[in-house]
Amino acid sequence: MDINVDNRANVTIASLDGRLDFEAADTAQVKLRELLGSASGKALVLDGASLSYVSSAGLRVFLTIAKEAKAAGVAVAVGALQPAVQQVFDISGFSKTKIIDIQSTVDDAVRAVTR
Amino acid sequence: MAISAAGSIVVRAEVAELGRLGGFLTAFWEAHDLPLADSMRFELSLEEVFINVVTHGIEGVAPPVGHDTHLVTMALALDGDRLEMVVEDHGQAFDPLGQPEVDTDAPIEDRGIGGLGIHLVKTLMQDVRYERTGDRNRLIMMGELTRS
Repeated sequence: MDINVDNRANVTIASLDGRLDFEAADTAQVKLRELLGSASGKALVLDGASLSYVSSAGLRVFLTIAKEAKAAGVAVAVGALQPAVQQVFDISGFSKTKIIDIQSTVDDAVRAVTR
Repeated sequence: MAISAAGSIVVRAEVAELGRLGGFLTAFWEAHDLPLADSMRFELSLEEVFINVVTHGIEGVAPPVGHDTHLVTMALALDGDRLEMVVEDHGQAFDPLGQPEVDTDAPIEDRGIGGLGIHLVKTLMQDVRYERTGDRNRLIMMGELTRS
């Protein structure tokens, strides 16, 4: 999977492009962790529009990033998840327990972390 | 079961084989024109079960006689709108259905990810059964396809 980064004034938007499966998880986690580290107070939005697949290994990446962001005081939100991916988040309890802020669009996610 | 289509593949029990396994499922999907909306449920269930075998199941267990590596067999059988996916391995006896349920209500601080894979499989498939026959684990997953 590819991660494309759009650095804006007060938010970094990372577009997740492709499949977040067991094989892709480690590299994705390293890249997202780097983004968190270089965010220096900026909020982080994960754009899920091109994320076509996620397994429990992929959820682990979201969970880890959410925990580390919380510890670092960085606001994180996810936007525009595809329905099948959203379903995996839902049945894992990620949505109802607000493990990570999930918004229906990227714009909503940006608003959620910059308000 | 009136099987209208079937297929199977044998792969080495290695993470690097995940792509080949998923590719086989995708090819079956296309060959039989199955609904795209259902493909991720099966792909995900297959990945969770296969990765469990590769990362835990075969640990400390010698490969079967005559082989220098562990193998995993995956078989598909289509019966109308029901697709059965069977995964077999020669690893340690492991009944994923006998494991404690994950707490999906737990807050982020307490949240590990262990057990989430099998929770996903049990939720996404209509029926999951486990059998141990001799030195073989057999996980039978059945999912209904959503036909329009």
